[in-house]
Amino acid sequence: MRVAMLDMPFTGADAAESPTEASARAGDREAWNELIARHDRRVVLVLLGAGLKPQQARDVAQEAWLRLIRQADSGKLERLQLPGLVVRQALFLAHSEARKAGHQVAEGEGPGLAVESPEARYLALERLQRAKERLAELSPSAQKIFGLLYGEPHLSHAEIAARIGLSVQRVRQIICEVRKELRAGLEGET
Amino acid sequence: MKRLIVSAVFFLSVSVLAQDRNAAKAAAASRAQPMPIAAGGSFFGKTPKLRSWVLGWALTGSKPDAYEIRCDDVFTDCAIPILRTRALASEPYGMGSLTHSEGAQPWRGARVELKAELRTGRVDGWAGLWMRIDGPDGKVLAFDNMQNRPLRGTTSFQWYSVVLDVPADAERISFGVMLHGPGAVFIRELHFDAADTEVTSTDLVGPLRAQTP
Amino acid sequence: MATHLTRELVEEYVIGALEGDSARFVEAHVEGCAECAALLAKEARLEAAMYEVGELANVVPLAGQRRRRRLSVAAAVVAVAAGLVLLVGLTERPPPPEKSPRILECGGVEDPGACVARGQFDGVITIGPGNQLLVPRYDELPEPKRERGSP
Repeated sequence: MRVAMLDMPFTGADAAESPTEASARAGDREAWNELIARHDRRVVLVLLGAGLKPQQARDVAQEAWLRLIRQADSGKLERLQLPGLVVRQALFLAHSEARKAGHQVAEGEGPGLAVESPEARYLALERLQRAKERLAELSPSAQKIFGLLYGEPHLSHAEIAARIGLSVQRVRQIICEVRKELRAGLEGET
Repeated sequence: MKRLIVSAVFFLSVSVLAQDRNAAKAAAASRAQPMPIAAGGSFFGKTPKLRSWVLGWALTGSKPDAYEIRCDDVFTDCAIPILRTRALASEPYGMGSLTHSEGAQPWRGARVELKAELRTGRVDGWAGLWMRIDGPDGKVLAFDNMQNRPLRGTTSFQWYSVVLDVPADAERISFGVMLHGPGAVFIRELHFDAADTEVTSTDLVGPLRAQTP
Repeated sequence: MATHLTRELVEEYVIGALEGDSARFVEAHVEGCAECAALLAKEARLEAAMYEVGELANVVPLAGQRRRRRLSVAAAVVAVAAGLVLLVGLTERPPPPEKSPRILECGGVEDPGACVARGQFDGVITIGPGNQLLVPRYDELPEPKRERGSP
């Protein structure tokens, strides 16, 4: 397993602990379930992006959640801010697994290092900014779908389709079109 | 990496293991072809595992394709199954039920209780437990669907129950959790067993029959 | 491997549009194909970045939202507050008014058949013509729709 550099930083969402996050930290299992449902997909995506295979990514994501829950249970978490915290936990796990398995991890390739490097962060933020500008150029319906899917409340394709009265297939087409539009802005590597 | 099995925080139990379970299943199969329970939606092709008791149940109702059973857990086991309206469903919603049905012989003469710890999420229509006891030729002997005390809106986990007497000529008992309209019902625990003697029957049909000539 | 996964397929996988066998096919393929695994990683990074753009843009789907050239700080604060209200509204929506679904009486209505069918469809106890008590059968499935012309 090789853990590639994560070149996208985590932006907002870490600003303050939400009521759900606070209850989860206090041991509310329901709140944990809600948070896991909301953010797990994102964790798996980041791990896939870091070069893990799908099954590995799911296992690591699961382990990361469990560790976080254990930390909260033992009172070691002062604040729970998601998805940043769980993503960092997951990347840390992936990184240590790769190291344990004897894979060479290049200098600066550690997930934490990549995220914290001011230069990488600046470049990534610039890319996000460019993507955001492109987003503003899209049609209102494409923007709306983007907002429902990638902003809060993270609806599923089917839920979005039901809400705006389009077929799921059409919603997915629009999502792919949005991705195409934003791809150029987001992919620093191409 | 080894798969982690999360120890069940919420222990679900169903004590419905009647002697003639196989016969009841065969009879149930001959009555209707229930939709197999499958976790709705797909997350990277992952199908969350549902607890085995749910797998023995069926998703039925007047519009079962408008509903789905999902897990409230992304871990490897399904601690809390959810009966919820499918996102794609459009009006009219009809109703959907997570249903179990079996022969009534072992319970004849007893008072039985279906009780469950439920929570609802944004239920626009109504939800509830239900139980029906059928006699010969499918005649309804007793029935309660909590129609007079429905679950609505968003509620926290609470225990609910339906209690019916099983007459001597009872042939089938069917019961489950039903939902009408948009929303979700979370099922934390569910038990079916003989009721304590002091528990009163919640039958809706008997009193109605007495009222209507 | 002889053939590689197309970007379209990997993209569908990453956005969660593939189900069951199709998703498993992609997963199995990337296990043995470094090129496709790299493609998957790239698409996943893009997908993860989309969420970050979502956060950055704070795109709250307010009704009738139109493109705005520039949001002033005050407007942004108002927008965030509105978003919060909307989110609170979504999560804390008050329960609908308490009213039990009534027992449906179809005896004296114009179209008793339709009334009874409606009651059964909605899953409520119905009193049909001639005071016939009809109990919904939740354990049964709806009659399959018959094609025209079939027996």
